[in-house]
Amino acid sequence: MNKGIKGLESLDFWLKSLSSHLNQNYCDENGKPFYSIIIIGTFLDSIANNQSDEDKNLRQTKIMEIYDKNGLKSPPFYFEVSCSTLENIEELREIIFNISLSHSYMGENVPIGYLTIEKSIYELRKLKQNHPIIEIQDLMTYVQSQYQSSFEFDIEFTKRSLRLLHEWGVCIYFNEPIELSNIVVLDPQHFTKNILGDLFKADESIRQMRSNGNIDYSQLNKIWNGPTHLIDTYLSLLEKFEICFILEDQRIENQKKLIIPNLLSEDKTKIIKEELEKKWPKTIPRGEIEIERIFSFNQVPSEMVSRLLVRFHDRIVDNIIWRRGVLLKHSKNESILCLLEVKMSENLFEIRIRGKERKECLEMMKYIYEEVKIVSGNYGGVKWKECVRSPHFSKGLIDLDSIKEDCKLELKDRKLICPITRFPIYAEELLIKTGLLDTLENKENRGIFLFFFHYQFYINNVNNQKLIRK
Amino acid sequence: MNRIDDINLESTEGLEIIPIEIRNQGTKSIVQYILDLCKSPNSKPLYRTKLMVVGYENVGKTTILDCLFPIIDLGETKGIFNFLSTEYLFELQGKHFRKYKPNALIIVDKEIILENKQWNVQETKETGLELIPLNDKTQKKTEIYFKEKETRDKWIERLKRVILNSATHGIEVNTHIWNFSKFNQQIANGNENEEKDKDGQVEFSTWDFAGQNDYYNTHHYFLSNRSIFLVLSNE
Repeated sequence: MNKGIKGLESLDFWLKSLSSHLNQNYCDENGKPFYSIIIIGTFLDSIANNQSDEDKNLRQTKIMEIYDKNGLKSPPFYFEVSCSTLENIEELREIIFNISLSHSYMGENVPIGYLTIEKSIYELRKLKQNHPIIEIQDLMTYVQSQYQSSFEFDIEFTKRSLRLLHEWGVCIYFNEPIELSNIVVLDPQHFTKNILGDLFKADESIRQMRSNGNIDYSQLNKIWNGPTHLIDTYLSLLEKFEICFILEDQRIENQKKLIIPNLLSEDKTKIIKEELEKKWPKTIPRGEIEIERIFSFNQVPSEMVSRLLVRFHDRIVDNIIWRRGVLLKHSKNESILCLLEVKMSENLFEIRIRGKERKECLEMMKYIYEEVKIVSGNYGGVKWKECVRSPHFSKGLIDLDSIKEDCKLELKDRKLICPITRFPIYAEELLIKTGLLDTLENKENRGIFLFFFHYQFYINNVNNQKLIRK
Repeated sequence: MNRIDDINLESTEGLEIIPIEIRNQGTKSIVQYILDLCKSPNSKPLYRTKLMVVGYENVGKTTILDCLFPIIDLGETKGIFNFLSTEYLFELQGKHFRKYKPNALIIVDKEIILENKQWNVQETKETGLELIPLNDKTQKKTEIYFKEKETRDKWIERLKRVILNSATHGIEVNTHIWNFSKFNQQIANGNENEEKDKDGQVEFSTWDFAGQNDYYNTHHYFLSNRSIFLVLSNE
């Protein structure tokens, strides 16, 4: 029974993961998603032969419940197979084949020129097995020498084809940053096994080396054997995939470290706490303002936070970074600081920005917003909105859009209340908290608003009592 | 070219022959792609998808791929004193190692079940391999010579994987091709793909994700929409 539960848990884990990563709106013209999911039980060898159809149906029902709970749009398929006796393997092959052909992307037209480049990539892989990374110009020279008469192409044509081939998993190619735009990883497996795989190897010595999410730059040649320029290329690729980044230690000169945010300590370490207290005192320094925003998510995949931290890496202040937070600075004005803390259990990002100028604080907030938007865009199932904490109860979150809407209403028509205490909230006060409003233009309005609110409350109460009496 | 960016397509209906990745990039990319189609001497319809296998450690992800995509190659076995070599077709599906006579492919000439850690495999000469039983006295050593070293290396790699049952490291990416003809039965049975090129092939790019915890943080970078996912559980 315990084993069965563990099996269902593992399905739940992976289906949840697929649900958050796949874009459910990415469909063909008939509304059919481009992905399909087949759940496979590989336990036919280990279960008793005399299991009834009823047992199988029960398993199937439980699995489908988990599938539906995860909100996946594509209809599920369920199969039980034996890899020892090959029972149901042929049937599974047929299902896979038929499912693949049912997708609308099958039969898309591809220029022969793109396919010629693809063919050259496969040929070059064999020639460059040990280090299947090549400069674009060398790839073009090869294509020209092998297939000179078949078509004409230029560097832009090559880059367009490489971008599509990258999407299809044939190679790895990025058109930015500049240091990567000139190279092609001919074999994605070189990246997944030799670069990424070696870094995350389930080997005790490597495990220890990366245990706290910090690896000294000088140690990297123990993970990847090879000349330094290869290590730098690997690091650029890993940074592009938002897995890790190089941090120059601001306390020790020439000390570089590889930071893997997902392996950093969950809570602030003692050193981080001390550093943070110096830069971010408990009270707002005199002459500064603090603006605040909460990003509330339906779910926060753990690695989404790490990806964001990698994107922020060139703005980190004094190495103040932990797995669930970071202290950042404005790109032009280093006195503008931003403390971002992630509350995983509540699916919240809490962002506070301090500085002397409201305009620059808002610029910083906009930057954070845009970066979160880009990273969360990688997760089809992740939805989020900007909120502000209620002044009456900090756990009460109020949607920024509804605050803005409430501001547009006449004072007598306002409806904004704390979602927990139900006490009235003067919307402009919250806008000041977000930095979107500088000051209250007319302080009397707050009093008028409260008068209207209480008056309305009184009228409603009177009407209710009349109804009860009747 | 900038003016093309100003055109917003309300729908990409009718452009289904253009890959979805291009359609999603907007007007400029679509137009550029059409120009590339014109620039190339001709174009080719592509039947290609990713097959991604995920699941916890030790659920049989690699094994199921080995069962779904057997390796089949012509090779020779040598007789006494290396004379009288005989040609066979060899197949490895999961742990089922089979030998067929080339003129009688339906009949299995010999089948061995390669149980874990009961066999050893090693290279011999330029293109050959030896499959050696470790404990079972009833089994004999098998020597196979392939035409190319590359084929031999592929067999050694697959055999070692089956015999040692070693854990996958990182993500294993491979390409496999299934011919339409193999599945003509389904195509002929009135399904919607009847019109498709029956001599064509479907190409599967298989992505075998390592099941150990250490790798979980990296897998998601490669999960893509245009894929068939096999989610495995063995309990």
